[in-house]
Amino acid sequence: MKILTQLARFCVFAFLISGLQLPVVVEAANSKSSQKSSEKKARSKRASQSQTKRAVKSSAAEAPSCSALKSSLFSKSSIEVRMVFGYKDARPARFVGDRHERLAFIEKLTSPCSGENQACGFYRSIEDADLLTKPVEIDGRVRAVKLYVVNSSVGSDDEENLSDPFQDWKSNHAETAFLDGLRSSDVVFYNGHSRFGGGPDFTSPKLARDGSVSVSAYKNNRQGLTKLVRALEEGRKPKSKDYAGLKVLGLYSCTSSQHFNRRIRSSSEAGLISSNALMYYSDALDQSVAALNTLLQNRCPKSLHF
Amino acid sequence: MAKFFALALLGVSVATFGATEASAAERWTVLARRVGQSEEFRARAIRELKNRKNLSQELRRGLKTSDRPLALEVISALEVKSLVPDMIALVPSDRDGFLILGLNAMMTEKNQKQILATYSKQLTPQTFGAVSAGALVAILEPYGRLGIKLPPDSADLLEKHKSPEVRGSLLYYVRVMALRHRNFDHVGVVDRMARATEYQLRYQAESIRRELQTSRTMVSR
Repeated sequence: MKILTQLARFCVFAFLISGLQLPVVVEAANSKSSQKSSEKKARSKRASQSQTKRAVKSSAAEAPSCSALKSSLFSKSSIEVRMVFGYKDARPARFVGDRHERLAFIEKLTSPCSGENQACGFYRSIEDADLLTKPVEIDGRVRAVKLYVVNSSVGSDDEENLSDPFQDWKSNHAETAFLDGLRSSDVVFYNGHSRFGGGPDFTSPKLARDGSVSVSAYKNNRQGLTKLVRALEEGRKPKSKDYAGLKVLGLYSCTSSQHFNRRIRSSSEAGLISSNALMYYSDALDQSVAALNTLLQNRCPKSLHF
Repeated sequence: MAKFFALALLGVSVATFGATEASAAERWTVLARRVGQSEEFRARAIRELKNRKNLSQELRRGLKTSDRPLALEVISALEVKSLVPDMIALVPSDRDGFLILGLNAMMTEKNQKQILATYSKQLTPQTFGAVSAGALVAILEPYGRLGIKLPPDSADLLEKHKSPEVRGSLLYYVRVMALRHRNFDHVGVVDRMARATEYQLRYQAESIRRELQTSRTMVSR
């Protein structure tokens, strides 16, 4: 039972299972390295044609809210997406895992593409370790996708992180990335703890005397949610005329529907992906990649609610 | 060695999928997802897993499939030490580092030498190119924590890696070695990373540089 007490008790996040669409998540790079470029181009052309056909077919059946979302999302020549991993401690154990999850996410997004998958083939910036980019063709026009992938912890040991002055910078950086994204990006995903409704959270947890996460500290002071709602409201009065507001907010954290939806709905018209069930962390990683893939294929994830 | 790290890894949750209560014949993967649930769910899931006749075989198979995260979860929760050799054998194929993180959590004084020897083999010039970034980041974790020196030439290879996460992990290792274990073999990395193209690495290096300066000032007093 000793080991059991060390097990992570936190939930990564979950989705509205009943509504979850599961497009194919492409596996690792195609092992054949000797394909000729002409074959590749022909395949790409066929894929593009079939994607266009499917897009036309799906638009005939889709909800007005989905059509409006896609129109808004792809009206500009560029799309900005932010994937922010909160501080994913496993208290009372010392392990912190968000940097590993972030790297796994990046590895998937930077792997070569095959088929119609769009959550792949991203390039990494040389100056900004959080920035990935790729061009995506939507309705015959190329859009530039800028994807920021940020995490909160410096290292995998919560005790060590607490003594590392760089941890403050990391936490502030992640929180800023998240909140700024709510004010000025098109799509924002949060993958982390709900902190009993006191999240989203990007810092080492406040602990109770027994070393577990303090429930009262978060329930009594819902700082994370307050900041989130304020940022959403500020995003409704943007500084730039070109910004049409946040289109999609994904909250991949434990029972985020119950904790956050009501307050969010009163402050934002963004489509929402949230959770009222639980999902294993690896499933959750796959689903966030799948949701991104679906959006970049000019479709609405079934888990998205308006 | 104290087991500091939960192998629930990154979030141990249960996929309910609207599922009903576990039945005796329930797949081990469903039970594995419940291991990290609330106390009652977890305790029941672990009891049922322990009672499964061929669990080790199922876990052994699971390690080689997409059920690997779940297998790692159960192996750690139940401390299935008999599967450590299987995990060690799979280290070269670990693409995301989660298997190595699991192995780190299963590390004891008895098996530490064997596990670290396996990791060292991944850090040679001959093998390094085939090791994933996730695996490298996970391998570095126990080296720093335990104060173990890196194999020869591996620090150079890590410093030149294209992944900023690998280079950042090397910085983290150098920091822990210097501040916790008073080993300054690779502090030159800090100065060089202070000129990295990625601003995140420059900031991290500068922060470590300041810490080292403060630490040396305190020592000299």
